[in-house]
Amino acid sequence: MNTKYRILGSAGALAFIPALALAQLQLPADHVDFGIGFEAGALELHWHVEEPEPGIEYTPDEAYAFIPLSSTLLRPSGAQWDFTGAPDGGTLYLAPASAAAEVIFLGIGSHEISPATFVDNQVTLQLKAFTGPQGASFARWQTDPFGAPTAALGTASGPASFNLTTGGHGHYNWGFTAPGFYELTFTVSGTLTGETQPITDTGTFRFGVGTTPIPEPSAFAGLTGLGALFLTALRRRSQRH
Amino acid sequence: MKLNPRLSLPGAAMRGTGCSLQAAVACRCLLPAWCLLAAWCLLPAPLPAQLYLNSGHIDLNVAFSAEKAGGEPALFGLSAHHVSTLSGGATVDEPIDHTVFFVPDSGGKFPSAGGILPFLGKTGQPVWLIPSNNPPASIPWVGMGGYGLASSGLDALDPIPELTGNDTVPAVRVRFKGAITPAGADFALWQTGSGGTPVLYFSNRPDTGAPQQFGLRSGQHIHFNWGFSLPGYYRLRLQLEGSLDGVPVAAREVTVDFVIGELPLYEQWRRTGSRFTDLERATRIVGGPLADPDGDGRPNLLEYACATEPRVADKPTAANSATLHLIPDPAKPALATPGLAFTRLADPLLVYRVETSPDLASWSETWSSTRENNQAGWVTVPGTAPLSATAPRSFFRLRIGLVE
Repeated sequence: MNTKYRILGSAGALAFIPALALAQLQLPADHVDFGIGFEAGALELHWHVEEPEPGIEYTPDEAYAFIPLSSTLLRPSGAQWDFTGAPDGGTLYLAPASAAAEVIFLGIGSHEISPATFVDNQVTLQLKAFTGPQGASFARWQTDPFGAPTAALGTASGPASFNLTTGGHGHYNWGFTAPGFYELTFTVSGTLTGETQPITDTGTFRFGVGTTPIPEPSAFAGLTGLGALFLTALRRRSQRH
Repeated sequence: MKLNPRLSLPGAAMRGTGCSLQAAVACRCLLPAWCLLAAWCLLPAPLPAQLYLNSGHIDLNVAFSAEKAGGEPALFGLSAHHVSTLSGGATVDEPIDHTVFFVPDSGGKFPSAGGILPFLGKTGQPVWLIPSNNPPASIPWVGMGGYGLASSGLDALDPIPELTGNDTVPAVRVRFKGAITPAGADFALWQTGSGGTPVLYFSNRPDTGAPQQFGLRSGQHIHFNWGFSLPGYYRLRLQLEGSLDGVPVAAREVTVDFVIGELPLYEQWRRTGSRFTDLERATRIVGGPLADPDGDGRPNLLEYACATEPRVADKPTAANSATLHLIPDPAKPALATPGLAFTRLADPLLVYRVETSPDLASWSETWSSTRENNQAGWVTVPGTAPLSATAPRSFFRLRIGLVE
């Protein structure tokens, strides 16, 4: 392989990487909100990196949240923790509700929605689909001042939806029972004041627990195809020489 | 006891003097060497807090200015940063010394900490809480914010990695210096861990091992559980510290006030009927204790103390003013001592002070009443010497204020 084609090959690969990298942006280990916005008459789910001000937004598929394997909680005993899907004493990989070093501090924010936009200032967030490592669970909860958990979504026995008062902002514990890559598809719905039919938006949010995203099959196909083209071109150039 | 109606002062004209308000009427009495004066006077400082917040999302917002102020190289400030409530969704900053957080029994009182919170109250006794998550609408949701103000953010400060775990983002240290509480009461500030374990930051108990500090990053927003073991009035003393290029900047102590259980009687009076709207109560110029919206010379606190109305320009009467009386000496009927008579309210947060002066320039306190000593009804405070032709003249004044 001569130098010219090596450079061409590298350039071709680089040209392909941005499209793939866009979907692989790792959110910072800092304050990020699962954002529920209302733009141009439509609900809009997004990631919102809060710091530094004024922050930056990404569509759900542009980025993913990363939870290091060091951020864990051993599931406390008691049936009130069953919703986590972890066995008693089992490991939960955690994005905690309180800010901690080296792990994303993930809240849910709807402060972009003005008061009285929706009936009773309420929207509903539903967990519509979930993929992850085999047998793994996801749960989201808060703890009260006395330490009792309140499940606010979960794939084991936690609720599949919860109501949210708009205009606010809250933090939750996001727990996963196994390392791996997860995709959570949410639908937010709400009825605009004066209307009768709800409006909705759906987005798939990705979480990497100790791992980074696995490129989608189409991306693999693209990469494989590109590589094959270059290999073919190189082989042909080599054969001419 | 009213002995000489002619010496009574049926009315008092008010005038403002800077941040204080005084009411004074001089009356030359019929006895030649005497000039007696009775005065209402509101305590001029500190300005009592008047904005009671018992709902909405409010953050204690730390601001910082690197500009010199009063000879100090830097200055911290703390404000009550409304995210909702009065502003209808917009953000409003109120000076913290103007604000009281009110946690009523309804929504704030829990039967017991159940032994789960060893740093708060006694087993089996109720506690009052502001939870870090999902508070009921009847209590204020108080957090902390490192937003700064438009002209004074925190970005010039150094990071505090030992507290925040971040060595790049500027931060401020919030230190708990102590609290004024009801007798025997506990105060605590903590978060609940993901697994339900409390993480204690502040405690006024000496044996809890609380670090008594936390770090707040620029732009950060945090919520805690605030706990109180008894109803009553709490004043928290916080100190804000930071450094610029490794050099400590001036620490500023600020106080944050909470009322737990029941609203003070004065605040209940302000909220009764149509005396003030929510917005008026939140502003000094109409609803503040020193404001006089009806222009009758009596500021609101005095209207309250005198049982008159703040929106009715009524004239003071003998029934609701301080009046001068002569108090006879039972042993020597010919001698009588002048005294100041007035009505008190049984409001433990009012302070009544009677002062005398020989020259209207220097005043000395001769009597005071507050807290449980405040009994409803008339009280007559005697002067220091009997009335006589040779006695020096003397002046009286009554000062009414709120407990600091």
